[in-house]
Amino acid sequence: MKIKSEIRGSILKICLTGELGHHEAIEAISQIKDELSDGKYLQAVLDLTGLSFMDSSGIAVVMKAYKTAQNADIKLAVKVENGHKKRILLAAGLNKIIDFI
Amino acid sequence: MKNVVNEVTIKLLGKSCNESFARSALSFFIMQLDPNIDELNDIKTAVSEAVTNSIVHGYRNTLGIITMNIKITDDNCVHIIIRDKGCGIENISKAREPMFTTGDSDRSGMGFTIMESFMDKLSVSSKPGKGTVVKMVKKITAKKES
Repeated sequence: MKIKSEIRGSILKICLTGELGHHEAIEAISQIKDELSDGKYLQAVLDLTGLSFMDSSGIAVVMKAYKTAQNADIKLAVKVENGHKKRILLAAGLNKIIDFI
Repeated sequence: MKNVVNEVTIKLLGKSCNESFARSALSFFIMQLDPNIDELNDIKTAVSEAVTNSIVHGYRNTLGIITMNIKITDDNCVHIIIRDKGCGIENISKAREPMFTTGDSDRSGMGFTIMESFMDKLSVSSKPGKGTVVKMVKKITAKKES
């Protein structure tokens, strides 16, 4: 799994590519936290569309990103296409607290 | 169960870097049933959850062997058994509740819920101190002959 960030004005886009399972989750949580923590953005998008695989580890990654963003006063959205990744996030009810785009 | 037409058993050391190997090996093996992308992702996800559970919860801070057995039957079903000889589960119904976890904060407690919703059948048996066996079945939609 790789993480790349793009900045457009006050919006930070964090793109995940490759596979996200338990083995990759701790590193993903830590890298995303670093990206979000400096708090100079108003909005952030966590882009999961580049992931070829994700299991329930993705729930913890998104939840941690949401909490970090909340602490830094950043509005976080998750970009995910219809399919198994979205079904996993919906199973945990994350659509109730985070915007899916 | 209908007649078994193919079968493979893989033994993995319970290291997290072997999770992706388990998913890939499973994918290659079930390709002979020509699953669609959703079916393939559903089964890969369920196996990833079961193998991760064995590593994180079954063996915790120890290393042990995880056995993955995959059978294909002539009714187009994939039967998967994931077995570990780890610490076992004290209370299976509690463990199967959504959001319940004994793991660290990087675990969501949704593993069994995902396995249950992505597969057609799921059964879990466990003995504390002896290990855990997860059995799952999913039927692959038959493709129409062109």
